[in-house]
Amino acid sequence: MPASTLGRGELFFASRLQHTKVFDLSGRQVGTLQDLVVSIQREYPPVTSLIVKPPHHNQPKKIPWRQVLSFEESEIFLSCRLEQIEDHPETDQELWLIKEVLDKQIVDTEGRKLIRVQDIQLARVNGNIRVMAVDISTHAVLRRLGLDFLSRRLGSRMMPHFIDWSNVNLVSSKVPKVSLKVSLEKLGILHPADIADIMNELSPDQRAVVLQSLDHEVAADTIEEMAPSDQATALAEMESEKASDILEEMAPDNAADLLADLPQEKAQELLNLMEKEGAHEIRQLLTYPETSAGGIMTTEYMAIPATETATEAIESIRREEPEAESIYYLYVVDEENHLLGVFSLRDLIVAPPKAKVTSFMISNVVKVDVMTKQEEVARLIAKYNLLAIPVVDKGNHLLGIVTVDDAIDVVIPTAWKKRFPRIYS
Amino acid sequence: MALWRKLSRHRILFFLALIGPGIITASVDNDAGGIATYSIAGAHYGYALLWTLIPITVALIVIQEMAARMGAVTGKGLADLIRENFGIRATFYLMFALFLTNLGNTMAEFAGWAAAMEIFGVKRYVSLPVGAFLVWWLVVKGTYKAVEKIFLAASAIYFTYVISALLSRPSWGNVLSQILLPETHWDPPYLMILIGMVGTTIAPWMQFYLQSAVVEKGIKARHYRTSRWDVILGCLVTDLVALCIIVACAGTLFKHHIQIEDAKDAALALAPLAGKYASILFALGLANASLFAASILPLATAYYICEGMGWEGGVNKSFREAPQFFWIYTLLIVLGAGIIFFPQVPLIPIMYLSQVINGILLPFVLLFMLSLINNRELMGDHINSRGHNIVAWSISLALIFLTVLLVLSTLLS
Repeated sequence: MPASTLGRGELFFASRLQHTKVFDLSGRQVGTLQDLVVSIQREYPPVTSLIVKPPHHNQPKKIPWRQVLSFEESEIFLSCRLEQIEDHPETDQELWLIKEVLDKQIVDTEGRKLIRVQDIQLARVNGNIRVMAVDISTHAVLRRLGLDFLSRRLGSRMMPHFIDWSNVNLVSSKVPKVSLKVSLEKLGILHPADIADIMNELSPDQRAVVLQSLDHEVAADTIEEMAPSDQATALAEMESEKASDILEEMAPDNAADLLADLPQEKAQELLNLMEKEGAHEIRQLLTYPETSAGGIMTTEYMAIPATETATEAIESIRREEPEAESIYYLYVVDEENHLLGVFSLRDLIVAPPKAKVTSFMISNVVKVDVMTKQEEVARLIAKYNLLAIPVVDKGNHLLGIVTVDDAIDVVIPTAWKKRFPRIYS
Repeated sequence: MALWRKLSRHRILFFLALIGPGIITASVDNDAGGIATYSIAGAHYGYALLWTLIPITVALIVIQEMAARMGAVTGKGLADLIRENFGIRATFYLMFALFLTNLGNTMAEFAGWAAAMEIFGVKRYVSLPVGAFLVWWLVVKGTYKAVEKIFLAASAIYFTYVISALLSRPSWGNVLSQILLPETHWDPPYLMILIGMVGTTIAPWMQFYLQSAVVEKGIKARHYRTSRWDVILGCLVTDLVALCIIVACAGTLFKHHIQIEDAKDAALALAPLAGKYASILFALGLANASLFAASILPLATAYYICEGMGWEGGVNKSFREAPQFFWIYTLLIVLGAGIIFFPQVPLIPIMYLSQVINGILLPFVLLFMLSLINNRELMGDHINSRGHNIVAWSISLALIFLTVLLVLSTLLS
């Protein structure tokens, strides 16, 4: 039920409810409304209590919704005396609308960007007051400043612009952990590139909060999409356990690049927490200079023993389920991992099932030494129109491959394309 | 040897990676208005106002350090923090005042640019459109890294003032004795210039700029100790340049009792007294400072206003996506450069008005900053210590007192 379709007269704005007078059963004014507390667990969260500020610097009091007799923008009546209400401790599930949402920045998952909450719209539904939407329009700004007449002058461009609450994600690190987790679940459905764009506008602790909440795979993809300078800091701010889990999900070459940007002790700690095999590959990659073939290669490639037939090779591929970018070229190696030849996925599929892979492979492989300069690698890939190029050591042992997208990054650094800083962007 | 080890190559590189925000902010601080004020101070009172640079430097360091610290710890700009903690009303009036005063400042920058170019024989009908275009081009076509490098290089041009000062052949012994044992006057015009110097050196918008630049650079709380040196160095450089301007004018114009009204007068008057090169260098410094500040002010202002008001901002957005941002940015440049186009527009009253709004704005910005920096929820363990608070509060109260004096005297005169 989108908020905007609800009837008039039933709607409230949080900003207008601020400072509404609150009366108790005897008709005595006991204070003014300071905040509205909602329960975050529900889809359109209902108001569960009111925070009432008594006059003369007394401590604000929390009043449960069942003690509220009537609720209007002009006045609120309680069904008891203020003194009868006991103190209720804060719980994890609750959210203070004015303190924690109004004027703060939130993520709009539909528009996929960070926006500022200019006002919050609530509606009376079956006797409950529920949060329906946030207003992000300039109209709301003018209304709150008491300058409504200006927006009428300016016409339709100044109309309210609501973001339905179901598309709202809280990102403030001050919001209680549990409510934040509920809210952030919606972020996970976005494309990692969109999440990364939003991340670039968040503060460091907000980034950490968001990354912690995403599942490992999405978090890994998101980090890979972030500006390189932010990747290492984002990881460094996280708990080491979680950070190492995310590293395991990343492509080894990206993980190695990232670790190279971290302080050595931190990198060591993360590597020690990782699974042995993945950590070993990354350690290996870290030993090559950043600008060499070894520095940009990945160790995720598909090697086929020279003794296999076409059918057996297809079986091997099925078993290994290689990543998309490394499936097009299959490298033939002997028992000591010497590179003997290469064939494409196409070659494999059109080959007779019983044929030995050595019979249709190309033995004159275009390859690079692990210390080759990255520009030279990119040049070779471009010259021979390759999707990937194998990287070998002096003894012709296959070490890894450089894929075409990593080679493009050499020529056009990703940082340039992605990162526009805030002031100058 | 121990010190040298501390400054190992790694550390120096690390420091170089973090410098920028402080130095750039400090350089923009010596803009057209600043140069004019220092020139007048030197020409009319000789070395007698030099001593004020010491308290001004201390105040500048204390305040800028707080802005940089807030940026590093919270990762948010000042406008953002004010909106989130003080609500929409305070933000709106603050941003409105910031717009007005920065419009005045932008005009002053373009006026300074036009005046400096006139010394080189370029008519304002040529220099103003070219200047405005350069500003626009830098912003729209530049990336932060490139722009920052250009700005850092431009900061070096401020050293023309050091040479100008040397060319005026000052007696350094006299300079030193005046700094340490000043001959103060305490008559109303002297006080006016003193307050003017404080006002032009410690401006509200700089705190917004510095904090955002620190956030932008991605400086985090744990690197902050290094970044602090950038801020301190920047403040020292600002006031070294100010000192050189005053010395250059004091050694020449003051000695020959030449009265000046603005920085252009100073540059022209230098030629017969200290030689053609002193004059040219002075004008070059003015042109650079004006254009430098003119390229930062409108953009920064548009950016903070949008940040505070919750509007989309950024030059990579389209006009439809971020109309408010582009309107504010365009208005500032077009009005700023456009009004200077007409010589009959009374510039001096406009400047005064802008200075008054600046003065009204500063106390509020300082009070907001002091409140935010002591907010444990935001700053954690990085809040001000008690001693730091005493210093910061005394400086702020002194500044507020002086700016109230400035506003009153401007309004009364």
